[in-house]
Amino acid sequence: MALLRALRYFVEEAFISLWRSRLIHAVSIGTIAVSLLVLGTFLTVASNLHAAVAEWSRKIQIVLYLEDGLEGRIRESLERRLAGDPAVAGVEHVTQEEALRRFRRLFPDLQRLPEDLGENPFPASLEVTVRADQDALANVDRLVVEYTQAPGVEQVQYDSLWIRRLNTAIQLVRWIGGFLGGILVIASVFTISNVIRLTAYTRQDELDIMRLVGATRAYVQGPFVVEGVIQGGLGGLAGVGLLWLAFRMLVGRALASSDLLGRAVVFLPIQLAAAIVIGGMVVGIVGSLVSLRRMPV
Amino acid sequence: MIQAFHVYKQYDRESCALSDVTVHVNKGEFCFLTGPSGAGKTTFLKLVFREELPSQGQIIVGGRNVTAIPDGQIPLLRRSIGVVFQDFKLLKRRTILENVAFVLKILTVSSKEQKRRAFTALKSVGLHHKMHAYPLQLSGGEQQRVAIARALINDPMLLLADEPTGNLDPDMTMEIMTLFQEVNSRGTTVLVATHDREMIQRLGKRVIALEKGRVVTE
Ligand SMILES: Nc1ncnc2c1ncn2[C@@H]1O[C@H](COP(=O)(O)OP(=O)(O)O)[C@@H](O)[C@H]1O
Ligand SMILES: [Mg+2]
Repeated sequence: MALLRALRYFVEEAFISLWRSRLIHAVSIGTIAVSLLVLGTFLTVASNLHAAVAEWSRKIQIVLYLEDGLEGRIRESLERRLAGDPAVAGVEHVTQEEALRRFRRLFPDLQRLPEDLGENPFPASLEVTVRADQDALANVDRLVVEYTQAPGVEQVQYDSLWIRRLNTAIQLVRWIGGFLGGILVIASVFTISNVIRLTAYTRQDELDIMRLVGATRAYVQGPFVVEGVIQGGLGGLAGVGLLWLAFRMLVGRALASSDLLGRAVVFLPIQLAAAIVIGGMVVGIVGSLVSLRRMPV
Repeated sequence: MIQAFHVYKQYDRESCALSDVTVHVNKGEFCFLTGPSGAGKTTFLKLVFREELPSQGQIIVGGRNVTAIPDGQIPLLRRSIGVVFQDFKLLKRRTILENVAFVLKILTVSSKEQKRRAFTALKSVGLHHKMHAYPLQLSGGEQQRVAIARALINDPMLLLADEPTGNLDPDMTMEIMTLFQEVNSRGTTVLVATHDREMIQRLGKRVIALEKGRVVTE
């Protein structure tokens, strides 16, 4: 009950203070919103790239092109060896005829090309799907090395290099985002702490009176911490809101329908969006505590 | 109630606001602290409720060594002491009823109880009819009486009053002194800093006189 009364007092006082110096608080909330917007933008890009890579990793294929006229016995032993490998999710034998059919389906305009060449130019192949787990890329490397020299294998084709590059790009996006975001978050802490120092300063005599009639430090400072939390939380909400608007306007139109990433571009997952808002509140608490550190007893 | 041993207070290097002050005020006593302006009266009171720390010496208040209590216990000390500040120290944004009730609010007393007791306290200084006024709408004497009501609302073990009648006319002065004596008779120790010799003489209580930071007569 007592705690509830104190909390109610903190919230009331915090809102009075927010309203009384609304301009400076608006500026402060705006600063936090922009900082978190930048952080959120990087998070959105990184999480989309990450999801795309996860999707592609699932589809990593190694294609073993077989020598012409390979004995079925050798092919079958290759298939068995592959199927027994723990990193392999599936093996499909694509015959020369099947390869030709696929070509015709993909390029109807070039229907006549194979006939013009006189014979079926497509080699038979084994399409190996790699199990999608953390080691997928390493497993691809191993399989490629293992089977390049295998009897009956003409050539090995695989597509992990650009996934690797993308992974590096994601790391870079994360790193830049973390760095920039970190700086901006620290700047937000300073903004909040300065705003609170300012509002505390304008109410110095009031705070002195509270101390002198026996208010505890927590009671005197509570309203300021709540003020910081509200500022940070509103900043976080505004940041996420802006991010969402920007997402709708820019990304939504240009990319959502395209298959550039192999999947639709999506907004931040709700947990991350919530984390940004909560992060704003934490920034508010830290900022207020920083500014109140030196208050006398 | 108050035991000060060889207390010194220096705000700056050159001058000494208090030097070698040894004073004892017993529980239940009513006494005056007097002396010309600048003698160190306010400084002494500030040391008692730990607004300031002495540069040297020890002060024991209600059994607690206020020169050594941890920060966390300072609010508890202050809640047991009612202080009438020389400059009143009223919250300008709040009505006088809220000002008086504030002492109970920080103790998280229910708001109904706060109002009831604040009203009673204001009534005892004759200001209940102005309870919704703000401090700056009142005269100096009225603000002083609000400060007195606030100091008394929580039945303090010790009442410190710094020039509490400085803004009051003689009639009101006597009324307030009567109130203080009533409070004293209910067990509260009272220490009043004043340079009003006439009032001191009229009440015939114990007097501690300070001059240039030293105790000159007891
Ligand atoms: N906060 C302060 N900083 C510096 N000097 C002070 C401060 N408060 C009081 N003094 C000095 O201490 C001396 C005693 O002051 P004070 O205790 O207010 O006397 P009184 O209340 O008897 O008039 C004065 O010389 C005054 O200038
Ligand atoms: Mg004084």
